[in-house]
Amino acid sequence: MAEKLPTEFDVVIIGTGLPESILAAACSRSGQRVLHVDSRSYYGGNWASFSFTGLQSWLKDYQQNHDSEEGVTATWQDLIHETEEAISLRKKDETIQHTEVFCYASQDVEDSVQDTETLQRSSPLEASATPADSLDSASLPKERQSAYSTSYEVPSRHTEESDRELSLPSANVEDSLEKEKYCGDKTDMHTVSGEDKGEHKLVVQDSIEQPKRNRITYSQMVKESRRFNIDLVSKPLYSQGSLIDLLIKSNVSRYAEFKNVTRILAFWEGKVEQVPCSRADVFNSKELSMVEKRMLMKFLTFCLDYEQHSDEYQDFKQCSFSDYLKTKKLTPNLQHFILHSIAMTSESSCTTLDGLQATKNFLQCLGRFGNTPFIFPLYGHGEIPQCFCRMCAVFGGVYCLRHKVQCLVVDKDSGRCKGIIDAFGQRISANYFIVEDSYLPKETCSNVQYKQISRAVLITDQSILKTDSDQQISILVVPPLEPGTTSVRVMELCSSTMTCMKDSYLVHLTCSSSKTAREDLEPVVKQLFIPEAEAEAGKDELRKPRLLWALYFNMRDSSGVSRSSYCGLPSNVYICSGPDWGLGSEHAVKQAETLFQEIFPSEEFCPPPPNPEDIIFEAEG
Amino acid sequence: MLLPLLRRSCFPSSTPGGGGGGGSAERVEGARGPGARGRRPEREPYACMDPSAALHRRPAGGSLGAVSPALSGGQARRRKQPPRPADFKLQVIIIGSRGVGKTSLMERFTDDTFCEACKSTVGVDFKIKTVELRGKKIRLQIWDTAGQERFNSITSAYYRSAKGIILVYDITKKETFDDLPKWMKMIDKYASEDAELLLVGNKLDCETDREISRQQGEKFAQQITGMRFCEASAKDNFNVDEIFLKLVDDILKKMPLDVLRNELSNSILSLQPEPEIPPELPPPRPHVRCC
Repeated sequence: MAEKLPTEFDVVIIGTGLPESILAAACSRSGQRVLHVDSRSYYGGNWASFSFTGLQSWLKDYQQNHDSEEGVTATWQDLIHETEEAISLRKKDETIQHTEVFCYASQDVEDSVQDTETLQRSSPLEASATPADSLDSASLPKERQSAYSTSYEVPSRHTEESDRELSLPSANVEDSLEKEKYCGDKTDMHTVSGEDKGEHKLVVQDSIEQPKRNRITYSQMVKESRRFNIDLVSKPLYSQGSLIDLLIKSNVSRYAEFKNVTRILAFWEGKVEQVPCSRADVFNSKELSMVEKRMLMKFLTFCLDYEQHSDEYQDFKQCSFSDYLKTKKLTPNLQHFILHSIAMTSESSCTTLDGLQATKNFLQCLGRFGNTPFIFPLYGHGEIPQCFCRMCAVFGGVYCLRHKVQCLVVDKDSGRCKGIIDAFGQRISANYFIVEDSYLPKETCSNVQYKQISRAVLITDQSILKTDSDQQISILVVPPLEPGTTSVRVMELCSSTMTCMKDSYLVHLTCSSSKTAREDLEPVVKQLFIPEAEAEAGKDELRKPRLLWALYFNMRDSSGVSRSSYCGLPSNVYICSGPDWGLGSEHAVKQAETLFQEIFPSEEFCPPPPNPEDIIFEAEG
Repeated sequence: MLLPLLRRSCFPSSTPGGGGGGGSAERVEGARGPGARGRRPEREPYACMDPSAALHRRPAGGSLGAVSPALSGGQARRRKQPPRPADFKLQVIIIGSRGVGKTSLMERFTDDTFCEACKSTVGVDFKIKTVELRGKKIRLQIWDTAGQERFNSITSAYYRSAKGIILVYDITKKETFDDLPKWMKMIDKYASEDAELLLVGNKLDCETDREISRQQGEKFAQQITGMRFCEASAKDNFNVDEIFLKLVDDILKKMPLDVLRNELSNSILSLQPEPEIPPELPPPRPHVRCC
């Protein structure tokens, strides 16, 4: 590990988000020597996904505001020649703001009874779970063992239906262990939430009155932490979208597996309903009357080749799509379905033409893989950048996480960037530099106006629309609850997507920010869910899923920033943006392709690689 | 600068492009850059090579059944009459510190080759070999680290769908043994709990430089539930087939058949479905060689 990086490359890429990773794969694939670094200890930057406890340490990093200059960094000033100047990169990521965590799940008072006995055993585990690098090998086998015992537990829980069994008195030595281990985080949350008083009492009552409902406790979520893969941005893939096309074309798809998004939902008159989107869905729908089915089919058929029937919309080009829909003999609920769940546009801003195009796009994506226009990657969207990174590595790209870059070295005469200096004071030269926006120093971004994304991540115990199958993957667009607010996109993932533990659901909410994430999203959360602690035996609460845990945060959206708004960028430094708030990842793909073609105009972008068995190379000594 | 190795040099006649058949596999021809050079010129002569390669191979351990000649997907696609499709597809990953011989073990097993001069891994993604075990034909996909272990930066995605994990250290380099806990930590974090683990002390041919005793390796493996241990030499081809076959055998033993069957039909989409694998499994073959 003390090994030093090579000092010469063709392309240096800083940041491992989706556009950077696609670019890395493309450059490496076309024969460039690529160095791909990230100052973080994980892949993906703001596109990453985390386990439950991993997400909490991520949060901690952002909550500790002080610019900790740990790990004395080598000075770089001496390494700059007279004819050069340095652009020092930002040391602290500032793209995440307003993080707020609420834990509603029971925090297991009864378990702590056993603590005294188990305390001693917790110490080796604790040691191995901390990020400390030195690990005594003795502690590891135990961790593996405990992992095994977890997996044996899962089936048994499933067969024994009753919730009593779940909160087994023996549930469980490890529970309390984990609890010990993570009590630090918990206090953190208490201070933020301030909403958990009297919670334990309520929960106890509940479990007596409703033995049917599963009780997932906080310590269970911690124990099953690695079952969670929580995306910072959770985007489905359009089944005819540019990301899927790129994955298939470049063969990067062999590194990932997917599941169909199974349902498109709508929030109509205070209720969640399934939107029929395919022809079969429309005809099988129980919600729609016969007349409505005909109306909807007629309109959708028209949208598929709306360009051929310009007379149908000619007069409405200037109108909004929602006004246009009102003229189309559609009942209000159908208008709502089309506007929010099929075209997925917002009420006010979308023109008729955009709406028709969006509807057509939706319809064209149907049926390629399944019944909805979307698929979702197993283990979360955070896998996708990693897949491109692997492709880059297979073709010789050098990967180095936890590697800070101190500055870019710019030649004064040519104005071109010549190299970078890393935290070890090593100078690495290259011809092209690709930098993710969040690494740029304040001075460079002083003219840039950033937008913000509001995000919420929820862990719940039931689906927002229950059906016979508990393994549904759903997308719901909640229209603005009040005028002046924006619509909120909700994605609900079940455990078979490998993003959450059994009997739980992971719910992502996203909208473009007008206030803090919690202010933007909490009204929607309250419409759809009920906090675990407040849930009582009432009818309404039975229908609503319970909220076990919630996180809100704002993420900087640098996707709309044009190159010209950055000051003083050397001509061979290219900027990738962080995630945008859009539904798919089309923006990232487009950005990567555009930049690649700017840098290497004559090269093909991510061509299919040869059969893996056929490539055997030797690196030059 | 990258130099193509091995197979290319075996078959210098280069008729890029290869035979007919449509489909995504053929798009390879458009490949540029190093990839284009890496393309195997002709598949057919290579396919002929395989049986003889298998003859040179050491017989596999008695209870494990015979090894069928390696049949890659590419070859199978090209045959007029495709061979019986594989019953299962299994993914195995190899991890371990830099230079312990991960790629060498893999190549010894899949191609029966050993390259003394190999520096570090570039361009090896995964290799496929079909083996027959317990009367089942198993398409074994062996994944290499793509060199990302060099600076301790393997992606978590690498561990995800591995049914078996081979953890390798070099018996002549203590530091590679000392790194094992670090690797176990990654396994615990990212790999499936059901994955079979096998610890391999490689470079047994360098007995004189040994720094880690067999007992030390054994002891480490014993501490971890279900971890097997063996020493091997990719160079001398000692214990290599046994490693892989034992691992596959363990995976099969542990995994009930219906689990594997479910995996083929549990609605997981692979965007490039393997053409050889039928949607449902054929009935198990009547004649079982052993076990």
